[in-house]
Amino acid sequence: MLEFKRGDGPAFDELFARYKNALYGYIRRRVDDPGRAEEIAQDVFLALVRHRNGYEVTASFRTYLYRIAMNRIASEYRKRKERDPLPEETPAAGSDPAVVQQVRDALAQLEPHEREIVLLREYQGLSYDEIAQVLDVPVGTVRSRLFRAKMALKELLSPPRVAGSVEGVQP
Amino acid sequence: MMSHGVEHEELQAYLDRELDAGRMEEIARHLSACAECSAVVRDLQQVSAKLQSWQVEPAPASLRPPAPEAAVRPSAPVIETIPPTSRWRWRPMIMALSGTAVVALLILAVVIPNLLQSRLSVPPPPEEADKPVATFGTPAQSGAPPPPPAAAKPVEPQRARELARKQAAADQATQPPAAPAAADELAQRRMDEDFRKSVVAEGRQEADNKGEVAAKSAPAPAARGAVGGAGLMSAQSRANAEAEEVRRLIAYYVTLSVEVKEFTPARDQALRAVEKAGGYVSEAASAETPGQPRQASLTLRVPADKLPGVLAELRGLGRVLNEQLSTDEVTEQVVDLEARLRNSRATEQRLIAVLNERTGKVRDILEVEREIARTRQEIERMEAQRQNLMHRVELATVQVSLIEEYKAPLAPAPVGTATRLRNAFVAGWDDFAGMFIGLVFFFARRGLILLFWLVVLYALWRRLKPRLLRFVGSGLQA
Repeated sequence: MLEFKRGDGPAFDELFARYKNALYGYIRRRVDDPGRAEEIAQDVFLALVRHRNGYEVTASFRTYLYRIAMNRIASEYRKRKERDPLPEETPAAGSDPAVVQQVRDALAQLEPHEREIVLLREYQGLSYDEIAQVLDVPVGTVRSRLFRAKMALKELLSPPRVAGSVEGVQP
Repeated sequence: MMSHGVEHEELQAYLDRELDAGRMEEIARHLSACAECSAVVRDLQQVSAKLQSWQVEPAPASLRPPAPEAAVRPSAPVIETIPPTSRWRWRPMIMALSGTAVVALLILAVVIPNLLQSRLSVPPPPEEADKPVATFGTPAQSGAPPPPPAAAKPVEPQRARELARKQAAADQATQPPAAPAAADELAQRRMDEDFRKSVVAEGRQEADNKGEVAAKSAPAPAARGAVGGAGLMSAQSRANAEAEEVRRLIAYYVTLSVEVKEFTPARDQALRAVEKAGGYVSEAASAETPGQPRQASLTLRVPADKLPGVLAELRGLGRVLNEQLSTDEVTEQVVDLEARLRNSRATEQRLIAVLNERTGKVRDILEVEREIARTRQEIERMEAQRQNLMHRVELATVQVSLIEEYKAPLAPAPVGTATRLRNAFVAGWDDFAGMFIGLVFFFARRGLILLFWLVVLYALWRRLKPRLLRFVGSGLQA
């Protein structure tokens, strides 16, 4: 990013190639429409180009990138809620639709700040420090919220208890 | 949740390798021995594995790096994606600024009228309030006749005190509550002044009763008549009647500027008017400067009772540019001088009696004669002072400035175009050279200061520029 800031055009192409899938995946898990997700990803990269002079090495580039993306997605949600309410969680492409739907349902039941941490950690692979910078919270908070979210997901994702034992005792 | 010295939160951090190496080893050893924590770790791993089942498609091929021109020209979607949080960030600032402005306006609205009122309510200084000066500064007001000179307005002590009290009460009523002390002081000064005059009048009455003549300006016939028929009047009423004879002795000074059409006839007419009134010219000066109107400065001494007529005649000479009347009351000085004169004369009479009736040593006789001579000198000096004061009262001083209407001389022959063009070039060159010299002097005087501030501002800009750009950029990116 610093090379691109200094005017190195190919450096941005390398950044784009390196992060386009990860960024698109992050957005795609938040926006059901693939076309809209692509537009938002395009906007994020456009913002990077326009404001490259404002970038400083105070945080990692990934932090910078995901913070922009998070703000854009929040703006998208806000606009959609105002004009055309959209279901927060809709099925997206995945290996097993049933499992994916279960995962999404479980994630949808988490607190928003916990869900964000899970998404950034489990799918984007951000470190605790990076997540703390993106969300502007202490690292200890990230750790505790992630553990709480994972334990909640454990309950949400576990198969329903077999009711037969209970029913079986019935006469 | 704490279990065997290991927090369960640390187990997730352990899986994510977010602990330091020592702690990682401790937890690894603990997990080999603790079934409960091992179960938690397994649960966490299972959750992560299940989460990974949700994968999304890779970025479409249509997602390409933004074109450079698109980065230069803002597009609509980017503007639309500015989050409301940015707007909300500005809203408190705008509201705070608006609130500050409203408060400032309210304060100004309250403070300014009070300031104006307090300024307007400040009473004039007592000296100015008592000073008998009348100004006829504008020609429109110059037609107003001055008060009668040598206005013999009798002073009645009791009535004066009462009037002073009423005036003080009226002044106090018109004064705002903020300045009662000033009104009281003014009223007290007036009452003291009138009381002093009444005392002076009584003192004069006693002196008259002793038969010593104190020459005054002509007493009022009415008062004389009252005194003449005093056979039926008691001593007290006669004393009061005599006190009324005390007159204010006022010296008048007038300054008058008149613009006249014809200079010499006007000046001669002014001199004739003074001569006709029985006055004289104290000083006279004329000035004639090329390119300027002729001027004459006359100092006239005019009998006080003829002053209105003379002033009217002087005003008729032309257009009055300025007229100012001021007065100087010398009553107190004259009365004081007369009292001292009476004492000195009495002393002189006693010394003469001593010299005539008693015989003694030559040395004593010489001593008495020296004392008589000294007293005589004092008497003559005081008489001269009194005469001078009375002269100022009897003859008003008029300072007249006669200014001829300015008639511009015929303009000289116009200069040729070539000469004017040359002069214009010369003047332009002078201005040009003057500008450079001015710049050199300016930088010589202010250059170091300018350089200092330029360096400071440049350093500040270099330091703050990234932050400003980041601040603006974060708003747009958001």
